[in-house]
Amino acid sequence: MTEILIKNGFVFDPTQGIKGDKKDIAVKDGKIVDKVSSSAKVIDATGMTVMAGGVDIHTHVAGAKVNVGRNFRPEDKLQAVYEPARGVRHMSGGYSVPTVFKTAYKYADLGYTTVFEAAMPPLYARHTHEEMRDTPILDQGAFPMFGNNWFMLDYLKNQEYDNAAAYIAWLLRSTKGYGIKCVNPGGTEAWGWGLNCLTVNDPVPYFEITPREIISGLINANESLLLPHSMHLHGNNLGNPGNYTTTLDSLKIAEGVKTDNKFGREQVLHHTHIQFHSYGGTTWADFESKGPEVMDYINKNKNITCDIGFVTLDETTTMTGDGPFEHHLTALNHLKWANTDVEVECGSGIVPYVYSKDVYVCGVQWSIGLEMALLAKDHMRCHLTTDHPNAGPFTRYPRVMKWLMNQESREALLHTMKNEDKVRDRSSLSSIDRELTLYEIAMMTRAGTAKALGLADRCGGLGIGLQADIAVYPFNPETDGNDAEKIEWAFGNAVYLVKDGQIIINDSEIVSNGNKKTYWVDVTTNPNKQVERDISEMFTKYYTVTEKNYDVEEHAFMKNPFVIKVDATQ
Amino acid sequence: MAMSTMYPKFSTKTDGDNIIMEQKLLAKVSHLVLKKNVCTGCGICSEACPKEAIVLGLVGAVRRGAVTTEAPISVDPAKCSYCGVCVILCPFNALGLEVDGEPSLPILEQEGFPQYDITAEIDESKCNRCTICHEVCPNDAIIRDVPTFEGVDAADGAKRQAALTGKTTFVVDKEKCTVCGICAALCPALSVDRIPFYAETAKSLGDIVWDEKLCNACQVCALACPTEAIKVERAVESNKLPGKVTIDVENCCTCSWCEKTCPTEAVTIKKFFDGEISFNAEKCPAGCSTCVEVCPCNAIYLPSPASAVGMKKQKEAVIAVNKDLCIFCGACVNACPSEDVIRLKRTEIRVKGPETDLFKKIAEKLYVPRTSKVRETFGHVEVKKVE
Repeated sequence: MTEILIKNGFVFDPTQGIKGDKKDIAVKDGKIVDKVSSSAKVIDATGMTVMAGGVDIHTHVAGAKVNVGRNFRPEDKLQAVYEPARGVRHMSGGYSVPTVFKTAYKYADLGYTTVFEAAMPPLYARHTHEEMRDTPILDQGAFPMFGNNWFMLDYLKNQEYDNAAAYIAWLLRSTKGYGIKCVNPGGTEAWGWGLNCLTVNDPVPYFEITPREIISGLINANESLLLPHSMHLHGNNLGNPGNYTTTLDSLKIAEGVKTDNKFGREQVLHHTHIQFHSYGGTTWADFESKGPEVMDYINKNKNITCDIGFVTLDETTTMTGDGPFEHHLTALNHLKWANTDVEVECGSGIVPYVYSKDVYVCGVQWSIGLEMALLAKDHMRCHLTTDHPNAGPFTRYPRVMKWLMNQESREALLHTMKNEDKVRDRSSLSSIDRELTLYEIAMMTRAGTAKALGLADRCGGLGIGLQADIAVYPFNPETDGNDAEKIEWAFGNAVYLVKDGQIIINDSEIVSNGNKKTYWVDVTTNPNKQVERDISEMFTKYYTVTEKNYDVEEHAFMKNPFVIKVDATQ
Repeated sequence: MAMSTMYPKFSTKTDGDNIIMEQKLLAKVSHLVLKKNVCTGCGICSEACPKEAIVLGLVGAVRRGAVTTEAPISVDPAKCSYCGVCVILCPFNALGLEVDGEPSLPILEQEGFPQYDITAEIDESKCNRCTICHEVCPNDAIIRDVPTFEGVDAADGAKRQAALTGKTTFVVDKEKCTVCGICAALCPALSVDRIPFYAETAKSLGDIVWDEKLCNACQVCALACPTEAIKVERAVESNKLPGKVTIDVENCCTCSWCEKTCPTEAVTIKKFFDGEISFNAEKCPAGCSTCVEVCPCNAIYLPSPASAVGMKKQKEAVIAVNKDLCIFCGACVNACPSEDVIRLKRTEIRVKGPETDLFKKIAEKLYVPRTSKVRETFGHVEVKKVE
């Protein structure tokens, strides 16, 4: 493999505490090394910002519901000009639900190299993997959903924690999944009957288990399996005024739980798109931000991480495993609604949504995300996401960075809002003058997310021995200072991108589709005859597919599978 | 055919819905007639037959209409002795015995066998002629001899005022009446007996004539009268509908649906069998419902699913029986394709007449507790003895 030397850039790497020092980064055989020979290809990064490749902890980019979103929104392509094939690039299109190729190219332009699909219905894992296989460049992984799975509901209700863990290990292996995702615990199963669970104490129909028991059970299973990532939670009662109490109730379930994994992860619970879960008031009329209350709790509890889910004020497509929420949404905005209930396992819904800055609710949602990120004390535990495409497409990350790093840009936007006074009144954003630094942005987008995912020994930083994922942005911290428009432009247009030691973007041009890999976690547990029997019985009686046809075969569905092996036998 | 078999001569023929087993002697012809659409497949005849001439066949398929060329039972006309025990014991009146074309049960006439002692009565003084028993009876055994009324069951039915007995009065205040004719123009019970118009007086004069039989005291004439000259009143002596509701004991299977649903508790039913029945729903494969469809009493049901929030880790049973409605006939056991789901035990047979040795022998067979089994001789129903 080639050697590369990235010279003279301003390096930001929170994993080593490097805050914009001019440093050279050397790459050899796909790894970051101390030094390289004189024959190395030299990239001149003078006057540019150098960071590790971005790591996205939560995004919807592959699988069944993403594709339903693409299918039922042909008009989405009107928002973005389709790009014909060019050089190594395939044709690409779509705005809020881009094609797999556009997803890869745009993430590459953003300097991202690792992207985690946030919600994989286990039964449709093959679909997810086929789309990830066709997504070039990016290293990926997917979280199968467990929060409404009948096995889990039964095992956790009966407090059969060994069985729960053995089943999770089996499902991760079958679906080639990465970690435990939990969406609206119990609520989506209730949606199978047209119902929902809005608090952590609402029992699931028939199963009589509460979301509290599900969350607690999954956290404990996650820790007993020593998984690289923590339990990844989308709580109950998403998107409703007053839901911050449910959020705090959910977060408190992690209190006192400790982790003991070999991956450097410190949290036991990752709460995703927490902006949608930090609402006050009782109706949309008295709707207000409770972001500070929720962030205050997270600041104080070191075993929790979160990502924000910033509203980008775009026309977008919402898609989630939270079936009842999506139905609630279509009843609010009367736009088209798609729903899929997945046998035995989970559900989902899709509805287009227009976050208009002239609608005060959207303005407040926008404020809450920024407010929370600006009030966070540790950005290693507070990550930048838009829950793509739910709060906005990931292509808006640079714009979110602009808002976070530049107060003037926030004020300017607030000033153009039709309900400016009301938006200012309902959140504390306009009283916050904090501007995040590039160092903090690097925490939110690579160092923090890689650590939370348990991948800190591979990516998210520029330390010696890490995978050579490096982004070079046309941003000069000394001269560009705090130029808002320059921030937004620069961090969406990487000049160079190296992934696994291979040059993907050279001089602003994508020159390679890379050699992407797909992470999955193979946990070894003690043999468990009971779970084997239960799985056989469930497939015989309740699944429409057979057990033998369920497995995602690596050779057939995955490109460069990368197994992380964990021994959880006792 | 050898000459020696010419007499007695046996045959089976089908005549519409009847299957006729025939024994022809030189001077006498005996017929056992099976009404194949009435037969429920209960199998009591088969167990009772002293000659073992009756076997059960495709009970479920025939009763569901999937097989139309057969009956639930088949009788070997050569084995049959034309004794009539099956006719006497059939609870559904599906069998008849004819000798030389005339209905005949010599064994009864000679007091050689008892009959079911059935009570199926309606207390006429309590019955209010409502429609429930007539609708609920699974065997059309309720004879509701009540007139049909106009506009409901028949266009030319009885006038609805005929449903009530009482006195209707119709009074016209002659002072106020202008003999305008509006009331008569509205109602068939009223007409104007007018004094012909005459130039000498140039007035509208005459009487309003009322026919009580046609008046239903609807008050339209009184309300329409421009001078408020009419008063109609009705005093009801009895609102009991005319007619009579009775039970056709021949067709009654004593299920007691009518007794259970009668709003005035006017019905008394005493079943001819007593017994016990239990359903082991765990063993029922579900999705079959043959027992539900063959039950002549509509006593078997598929329990309704609970609401989502009402389940609480419990799923409804796949099959169940209402023991109060069961007559312990055994059709369900015969039809069930599974094993050990339904257990039936008869404990008493109510009869009147001489309890002869033959009867006691048959009763012992009927008392044997049974359940269904899976493997049986092809084409024949066999049940499994239990306990």
